[in-house]
Amino acid sequence: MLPSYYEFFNPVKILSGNKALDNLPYELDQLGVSRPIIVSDKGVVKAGLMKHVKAAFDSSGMTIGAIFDDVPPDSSSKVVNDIAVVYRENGCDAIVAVGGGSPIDTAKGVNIVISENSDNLMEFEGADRLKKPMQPFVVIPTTAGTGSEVTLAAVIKNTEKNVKMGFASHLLFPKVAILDPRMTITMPPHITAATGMDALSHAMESYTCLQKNPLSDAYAFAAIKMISENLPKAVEDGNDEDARSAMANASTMAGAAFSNSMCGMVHALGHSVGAICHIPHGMAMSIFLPIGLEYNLEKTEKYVAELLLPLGGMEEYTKMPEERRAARTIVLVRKLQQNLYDLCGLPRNLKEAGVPRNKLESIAQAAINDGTLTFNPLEMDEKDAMNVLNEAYTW
Amino acid sequence: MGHAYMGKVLRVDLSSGKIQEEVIPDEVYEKYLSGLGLGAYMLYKNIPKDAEPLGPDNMLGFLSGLLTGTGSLFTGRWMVVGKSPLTGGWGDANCGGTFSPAIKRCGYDGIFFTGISEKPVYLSVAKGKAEIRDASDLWGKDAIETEEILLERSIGKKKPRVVCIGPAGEKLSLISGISNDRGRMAARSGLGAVMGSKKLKAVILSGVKRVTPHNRDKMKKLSKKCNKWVQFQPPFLTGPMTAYLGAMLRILPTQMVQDGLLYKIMLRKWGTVSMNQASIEMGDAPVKNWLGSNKDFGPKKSKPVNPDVFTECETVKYHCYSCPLGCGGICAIKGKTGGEFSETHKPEYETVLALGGLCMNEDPDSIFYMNELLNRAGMDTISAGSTVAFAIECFEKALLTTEDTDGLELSWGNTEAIVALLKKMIKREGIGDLLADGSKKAAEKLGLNSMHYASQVGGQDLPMHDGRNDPGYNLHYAVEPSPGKHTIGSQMYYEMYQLWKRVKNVPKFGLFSMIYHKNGKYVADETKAAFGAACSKYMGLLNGAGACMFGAFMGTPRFPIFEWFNAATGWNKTPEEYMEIGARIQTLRQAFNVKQGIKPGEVKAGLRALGLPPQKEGANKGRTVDLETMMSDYWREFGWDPQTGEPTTSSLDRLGIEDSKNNL
Repeated sequence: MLPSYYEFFNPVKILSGNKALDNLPYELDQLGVSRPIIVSDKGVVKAGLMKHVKAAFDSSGMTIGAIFDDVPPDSSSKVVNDIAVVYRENGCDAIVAVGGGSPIDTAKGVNIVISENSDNLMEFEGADRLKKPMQPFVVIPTTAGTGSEVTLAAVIKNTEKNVKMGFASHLLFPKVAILDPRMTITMPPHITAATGMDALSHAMESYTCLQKNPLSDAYAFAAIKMISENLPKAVEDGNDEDARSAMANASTMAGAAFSNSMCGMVHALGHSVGAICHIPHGMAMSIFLPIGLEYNLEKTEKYVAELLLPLGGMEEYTKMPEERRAARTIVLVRKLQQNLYDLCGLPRNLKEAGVPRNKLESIAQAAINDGTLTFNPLEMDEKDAMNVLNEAYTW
Repeated sequence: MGHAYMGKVLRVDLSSGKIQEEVIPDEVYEKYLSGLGLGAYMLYKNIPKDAEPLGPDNMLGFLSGLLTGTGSLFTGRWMVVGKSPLTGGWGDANCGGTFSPAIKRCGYDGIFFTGISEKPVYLSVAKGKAEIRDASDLWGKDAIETEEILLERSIGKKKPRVVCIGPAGEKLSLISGISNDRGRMAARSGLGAVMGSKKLKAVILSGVKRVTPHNRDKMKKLSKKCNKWVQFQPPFLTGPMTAYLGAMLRILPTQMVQDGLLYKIMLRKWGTVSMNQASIEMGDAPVKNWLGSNKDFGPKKSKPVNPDVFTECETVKYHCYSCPLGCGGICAIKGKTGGEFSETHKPEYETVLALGGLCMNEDPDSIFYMNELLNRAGMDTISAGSTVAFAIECFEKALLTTEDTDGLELSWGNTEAIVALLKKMIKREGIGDLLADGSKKAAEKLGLNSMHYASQVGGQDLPMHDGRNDPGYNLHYAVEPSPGKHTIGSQMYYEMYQLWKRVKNVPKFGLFSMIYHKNGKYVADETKAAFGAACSKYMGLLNGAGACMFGAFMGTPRFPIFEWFNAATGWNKTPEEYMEIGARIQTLRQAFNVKQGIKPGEVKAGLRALGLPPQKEGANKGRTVDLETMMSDYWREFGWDPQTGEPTTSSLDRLGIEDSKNNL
């Protein structure tokens, strides 16, 4: 059934394929810029990925205006301001983010302060606070999960207040996202697994949460199929370029889906456990996804049942009686969890993830105040959250 | 002048075939009694650390009770002990019938087996001679056939008594038990598998020795007085009306301290099935694998298993040895089973609820049928029913599909599929092989989050008493060294035992606390821990005596256990000193578990049984049990480490359990 009203917006040009990165100078040229700043982190440098970026510029005649390759994992407003200084000092005219969620979100923050000509990122916190045209912005993801290359949001830590700030505006969308399998091939198995489950959680929550719509459904559906078919392959054999490429595409599609339909309680819990116990986001998503699907089942059974087709394939879908398809979808998510645990030790529960049991109450309190809960099909109060966390604590 | 016990045990090494008697010093009886206590003494001493439960080092003991044969009443229960393959720690099970006095008639307080026989054997003790005999022709026979064949072979005037395993024990099902008297089972702890692992098919005993109590006249006098209470049997409700009794207990916000005389009347009239409907209505009986409530299995659905249904087909009422109550019965079931079986023991409450409401099965005939199937197979009806319910939930949650179940549609209440599944479990065929070791082992193999659907503690499937209704059950399910048993304690048991009328320093219910608000039951406080500790100690005594808890339900003023002990043995101990013996038995069993690597703090029920999340409707709506606080308080009552549950050196010193300290 169609929603009575919805909006869907995704203006990011996608370049996908082997050596897609080589088109970066051309794309920048099309955007009318000539001195981009490259924003990245040490992990990207250490993995030798920066050489692919530099090589792309080699014969292009275009100059890299500056490189900032020291974005920390938990980036902050201070880092944003530091990069803005580098940007201005070097006369840069575009931003190219190379990395996972942290460099991409940091680059979005840099774009805000540069474009708004401000040195105070905090004043733009929230939704739709940006008014001025943004700098051309290109993203080259090196993980396949966050979907940040096609989202309108960024999360950056406020170092003064020690809180995470959220920014959302359609102006934050990158102009171009480049999905080159070479850029994710060095990702270690456990990060491949965690980020892949992050992508799956985006797609599944997108398909089942309140703001779902036909277009987000289509992206989510396609993403789930690709993840199901390729995530274990990518974890098992990192050099499998087809699997890497598929995961990058799935992540992008899932990102496009959830940035329009939004997420629900899985993300609310994930954000909270991440903030309080510093558990990597993808790992948390993997733990909470089946439990969240189960929690919402009385409202979402039909949708979860539909997801058996992309997740399990035609044979699995047809042989399972209609009334048990939703349950089977959740079983298959858990089987994927187990498979990833077997392949690389990705934790299946909070205990394995090292979350202290005495933190569950704080996590529950934080989760019920998380904004994503607004879009969850069922309400969740603190007691509900505690019940879910108790279940998530043990396998 | 006698002293109630025989003073020796028989030791049988099945590997070497060596049989010898071992004299037990008097002080051991004074410290541990017989039965469970003597079993704890023997097993702690003889089973090495990390012994494989199904290996030759495990010791399997059959014990009589201290008071068996002394002229006391309700004291004819025998006990089997061993390291449990189901829980990995202390294992025991006990049973009524007639085997307990048979052990003493052979001149022993217990018979202990070690080693493994090369071929199937049975032990025969007759005319003072013990022999290991070939049982190859019995291997594969069900428990009733085996007993019949052995009795046919026996000679002499006195009918021998037999315990044996069925095919489930032979196939090492970890939920198999040991049968006597044609299907009465010592069902729990998986000790049938231990017997099977030793290739010991049966034990047949025939003896003429008599127990001489210290003061026979006093014993008679005490028993006569006790019997008067047993014979008090006013007219009572009809079967279906018991549902309303349960509903009343649910609806009223207050309740009276329970007097076990009421339960005695119901037990005498119907047996344990008297509580079938009442328990569902009051929230005592778990429904739909602990997911449901009285709302899902209300009086209409449970009416087919109302108590009258069982007495209507009862052809014979029977009493266990020395029991004046007689809760047992034989039911004619030819018409109910398509002629396959002519009779069965009257199903117990646990059986009816495990194979009924827990699986949403409304067909009473199928329950009679499965009761007989399981008795013959020698499989625990509680664990079997609970594991079937687990499988149904796994099927509903799509963890299992028809491909896994050989085409069985395991939906709630699908009687045909439930019976078929049970048969597969008995045969260890297909999916049945996965389920034949109980829900925990199945969940471990099935993986994913299936452990959340396994209603068990420490490997043992939970009985049909819901700790969300009486949190004392949940406490004992967790802290009992042989976890997951309903025959130890609860607040209701504590009230009925009326210990405060004989024992000092236990919580009292007085005139002004005889009626209390039910909400108080759900607060985990030190009083609840004291109830729990007192129940454990008292049950230690009862199991050392070979006593039946149904007699104890009448309360200490009517059930003179302490007085019987003194009159039978010639000891002159106070009730407090006997409770100390109960504490010693409990502590030694806990020490056994620690020695065998069990971590008591990790043994507890799953979230669902604790009310996490709380139920949204029904009798136990909104209730959550604070088990961790209760466990810690309970351990403190025993002087054990309140964090780990391990007995402390000082608690062992105080109780004079010297030899266990090196293992802690």
